[in-house]
Amino acid sequence: MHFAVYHSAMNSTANNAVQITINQHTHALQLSTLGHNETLLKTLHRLGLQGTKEGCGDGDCGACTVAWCAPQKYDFALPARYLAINSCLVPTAQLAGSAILTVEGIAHLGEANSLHPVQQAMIDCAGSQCGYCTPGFVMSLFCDYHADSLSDLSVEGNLCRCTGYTSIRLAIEKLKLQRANPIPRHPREGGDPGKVSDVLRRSTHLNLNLQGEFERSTNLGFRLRGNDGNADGNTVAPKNPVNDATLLINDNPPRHPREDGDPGSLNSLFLPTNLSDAFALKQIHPDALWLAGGTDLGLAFSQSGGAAQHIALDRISELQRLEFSDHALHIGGTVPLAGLLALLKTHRSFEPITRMLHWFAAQQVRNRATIGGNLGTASPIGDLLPVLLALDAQIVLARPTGERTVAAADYFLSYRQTACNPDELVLRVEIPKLKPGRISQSYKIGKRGSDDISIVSSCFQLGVDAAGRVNFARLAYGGVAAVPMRALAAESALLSVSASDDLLAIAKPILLSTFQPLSDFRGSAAYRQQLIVNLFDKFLRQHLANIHG
Amino acid sequence: MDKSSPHESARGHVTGSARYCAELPAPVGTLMLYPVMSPHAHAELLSIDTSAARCAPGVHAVLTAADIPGENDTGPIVHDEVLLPTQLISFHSQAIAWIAAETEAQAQFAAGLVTASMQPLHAILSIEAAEAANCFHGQTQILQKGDALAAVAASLHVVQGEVRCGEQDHFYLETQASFASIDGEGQVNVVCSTQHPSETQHIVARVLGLKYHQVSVTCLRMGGGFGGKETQANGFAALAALAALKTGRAVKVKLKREHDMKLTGKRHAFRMRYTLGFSAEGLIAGLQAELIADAGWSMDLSPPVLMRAMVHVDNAYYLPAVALTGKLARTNKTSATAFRGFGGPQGLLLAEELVDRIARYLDIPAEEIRARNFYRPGFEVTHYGQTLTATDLPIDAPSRMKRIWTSLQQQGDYATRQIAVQQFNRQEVGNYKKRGLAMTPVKFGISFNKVQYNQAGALVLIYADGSVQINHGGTEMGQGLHTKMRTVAARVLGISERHIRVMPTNTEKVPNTSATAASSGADLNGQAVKAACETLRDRLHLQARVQLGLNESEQLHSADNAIHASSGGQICFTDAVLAAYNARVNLSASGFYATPGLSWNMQSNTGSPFFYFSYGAALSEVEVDGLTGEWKLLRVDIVHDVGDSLNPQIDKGQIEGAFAQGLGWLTMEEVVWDSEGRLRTFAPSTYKIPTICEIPAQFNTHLLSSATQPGTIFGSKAVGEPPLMLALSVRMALKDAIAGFGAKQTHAGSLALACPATPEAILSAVVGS
Repeated sequence: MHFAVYHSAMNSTANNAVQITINQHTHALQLSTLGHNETLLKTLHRLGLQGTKEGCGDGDCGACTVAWCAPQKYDFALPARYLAINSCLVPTAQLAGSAILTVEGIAHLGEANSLHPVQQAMIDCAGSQCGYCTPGFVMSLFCDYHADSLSDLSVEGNLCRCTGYTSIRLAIEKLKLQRANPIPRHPREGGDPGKVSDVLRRSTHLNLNLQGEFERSTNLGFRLRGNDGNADGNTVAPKNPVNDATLLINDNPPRHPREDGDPGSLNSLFLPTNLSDAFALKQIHPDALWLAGGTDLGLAFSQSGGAAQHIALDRISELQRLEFSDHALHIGGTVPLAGLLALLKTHRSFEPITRMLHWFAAQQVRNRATIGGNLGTASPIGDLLPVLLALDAQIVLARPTGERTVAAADYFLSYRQTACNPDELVLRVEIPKLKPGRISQSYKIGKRGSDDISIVSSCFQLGVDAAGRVNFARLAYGGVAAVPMRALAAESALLSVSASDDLLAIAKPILLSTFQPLSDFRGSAAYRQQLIVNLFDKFLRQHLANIHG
Repeated sequence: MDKSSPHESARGHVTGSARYCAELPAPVGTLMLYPVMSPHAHAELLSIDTSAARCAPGVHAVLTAADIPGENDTGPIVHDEVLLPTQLISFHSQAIAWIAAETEAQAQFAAGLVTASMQPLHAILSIEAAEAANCFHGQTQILQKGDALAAVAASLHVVQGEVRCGEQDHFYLETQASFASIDGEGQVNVVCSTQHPSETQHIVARVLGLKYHQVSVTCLRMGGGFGGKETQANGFAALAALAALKTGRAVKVKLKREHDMKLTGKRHAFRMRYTLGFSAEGLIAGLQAELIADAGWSMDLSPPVLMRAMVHVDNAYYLPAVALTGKLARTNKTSATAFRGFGGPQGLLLAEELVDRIARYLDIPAEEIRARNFYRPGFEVTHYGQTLTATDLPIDAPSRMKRIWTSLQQQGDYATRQIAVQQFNRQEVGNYKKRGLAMTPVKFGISFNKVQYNQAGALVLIYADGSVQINHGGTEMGQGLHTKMRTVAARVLGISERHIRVMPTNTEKVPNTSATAASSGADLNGQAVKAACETLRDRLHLQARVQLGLNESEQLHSADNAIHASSGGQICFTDAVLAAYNARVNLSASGFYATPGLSWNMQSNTGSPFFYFSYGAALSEVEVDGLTGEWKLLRVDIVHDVGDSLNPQIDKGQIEGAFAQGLGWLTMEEVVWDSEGRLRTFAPSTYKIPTICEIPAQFNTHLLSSATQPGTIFGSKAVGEPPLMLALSVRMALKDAIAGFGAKQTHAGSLALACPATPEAILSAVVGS
């Protein structure tokens, strides 16, 4: 077979395995079996860990939830040490060096022969009926139990078809009480389970072995930079040396035979740890896709195997800065949205973002999804995009030769086409702080309301001058056109109008003629038209009284 | 003692050790199945070319109709459902072939290599289109009581209208799964996620051309069923068995969610048109109605679903004169099937729309109209001829329904909250939110309409060490049936539940079982388990008399892991068992139960098909956003009658879970097909079932007290289906809120609200009012 050549090249390397720690056991997973695209869920099943279930394979039901022991490399606080993620969406190889806990692995974190408190609470409160969704619920609860942040939202991303959730809510209430009054005989309650520290220590130890991967990638002729300072031009000082190996995951022959019989290029997943490596890889593999949190691209891994080559961006420290400047919030391209949400909870000036983030899927997705991914996918119904438009966000794109800044208003060109060139990526997004006196809010309408895809979403911003005349207007919408879009004509018409005038009456006819939304299975064109106007109406009713020049 | 034992698999659920069908260890060489799906909803199938697929890596077989040694049919009642099409494609995505390969990826790849030549035909995709083409399954069903025409004509008020509702996908979390292998003797062993192992056995045998005794079917447990695995599992079991027969390998099928939703049947969509006559007091005088259900491409269980809908258009209300016709539209869609309530929800939807309409028309509070129309002494014969008994309508006390109604008004603080809602609707700042409040009753007939299904068997084994295994014909899908059966056995044998295991359901242990359906699982199997355990208990008592040297006048009873004599002596259960073994006493027994007193005439559609009725009522409060159509469920109160509960915690779970499922059906679960007959909502990203966020923090469930049901297992009542229809209170509360936005009295009391009442439908109703 013609791909045998590549295969023998693989065999010439010393280390063909990806190492990952699952329930405190370290696995060296052979790349020849694992491939670049096997999802964590499939890996777990292959290892005989059947407790984690597949309910949809789409990242929408939460049955496959596992706890990802969060890497400590971010320069911002993640909401939890254990992050609930959908194992059906993430390629196992992307988690190389990580530690994972599944439903089979948490009972032993407590006392011998006792269940973890979340498991016991689910039994005591009859939180399971058919049991198929239960492992996912248990893991979502586990993560928030240790973050001391249990609420309904802990399991918003977990579907249960049997219980009606009341018994699960009872379990949550019981656990919250337990957290408030820890029982001393459970030594690991109320703090970080000691043995999990072992898990992390062991996984750190494992990362040392990843140097072998680096070696192998150079064997294949790629000029990659490692983290040890020996490679050329490495200017980024890694905070945690052992965590920063550039990795190449590649499997041959292709796991899915290709119809044309052409093995094509290698099926690969690259895990660079700095921008210049990422760009170098992109130059060699121009068809490779940037992979951020993978909550959209992951569907392809789950359903059909996905594209041949991906360059993962979740280990690149330059993309993971999250900070305030005097005038703006800077969000790195691959900061998990959960990290952003945790930061913003204390900053009311960014309430439109906070509100939209609450509606942005559920925890399992927010723990992986990124603003760069949302901008890269550029779906007309991307949740954050109208917010970026209404808040006059600046999108900073990185390319091999430097940076450039594009206003959000100029970013979306046509359906899923953006100003970001193939060799560029979203370095960060800068969102100006809301000026005093301005009002802004975001809205999202779906069939279900929670954890849904929007029919129409919107974000508005209005400002007035000292004379009470509108001097700033942003009306941005998602779901009403091929791209997320501002209603520019309506914005202009509102300028200089007295805020005490009937702003809705002015905007309404213009809004109705600005958009020609489509009908689909989420909603009719007529409904979308109604929402375009009524959401602005609602915004005015809720917030106009608070505006002042 | 042990009254609310936890679910017998709870520990397995929370630790992930509970195994489901597809997770069984597969022998080396096990093959996976993957479908080749039709790109047309209706087409002539001219030819299939599987040659390329057969040569693809890992492929061991490509199954087409030509491979079937027996009958190419899976129809449970009428043989009208081909397993693999021969000449005709009947719905979009219908599987025309299945690939059996070593991995799912290989099977998926090979599926793409199958080509088929098809001649597309005109597809019928709606009830209207079926009507226009006169395209129906079977005969029109008629159900009559008195002279409805005359009764309507003589009524003071007459209204006409139409009620429709859409399909609902079961969305069990575990998709359809089967695992088949053939042993050295040619015995076909199938493990299947099925609610009806016996029928799965029959269909596998039919397709393979075998006798029933050559096929064994086991169900470990299901990750949810809800009716979706009553017949729908059979075809996949037959395919796995067929592939096993053809290849000699073990074969597994576990559908991807998308395939499950595209291939399997859903709750029936209905269009119901009515003419209703009523009095100045709002009492129903006569009802004429036509019910048309969208049955899809084959009959499946549609005839009994339609009949249950027709039999339930009364809900809890006395109907003096009725003329119903029922039809099954034949469309090019998946074949609609059983779904919790089995037509009952659609029938009750019509009933509740009728009383709501009367209330609006007369401007009398809806809960008052409801209570006035309840069955009551002198008005106790249903429109199909069954008379409510004194258990439901005691002469000297309020009816069971009325007791629930009054209790709910108290528990839910109805009067006070009604005033509060009216105040809110007057005062709300900005005036774009309105609240609504409604309470609705449920009466639901318990038993299969078809008399012969109301039987069950059990096999109980006591081992010499005193440990016990129970086998019964029911299946466990999360409803807690096994837990309840263990409780029944423990109570009869007087031993603690930890000595008892409930075994996976297996056709080798109990033959000729009925589906675990119609809420009847605990009623039927409980009596069978009880009978078997009583036989064994009596044998042990005989032995105990010998051991304790008692005469025959001595009374014995079993409790606390021992057999106690009235004179004070006792022998522990394990000693009695060992003594019985040593004395060569048979320690296994079968039990059997047939529900007494049932009758149903399938020609006249009359009789007394139900052993008893289940009752409940719910009070729901909602808040509607008049700008977007979004809404929030603020509070739910329920009073439900489960008799003397076998397990209050499980019964509460059934009530609340069913309510949530009904809530989904009525408000957010919208099944959308496009103009090509393609299902557009085939994943949880597009098909929305409720999450925890849709369930209000104030959700109070009360079990009716003093509710012993005579003649049932320990006085308990069925609980699986009836509470689903409690969610109608949400729909009615939404209508109440919508009416609050504007002109309350629209044309003759009608307030049109689509079902499901999505935000779009609600906004449309708000604007319309």
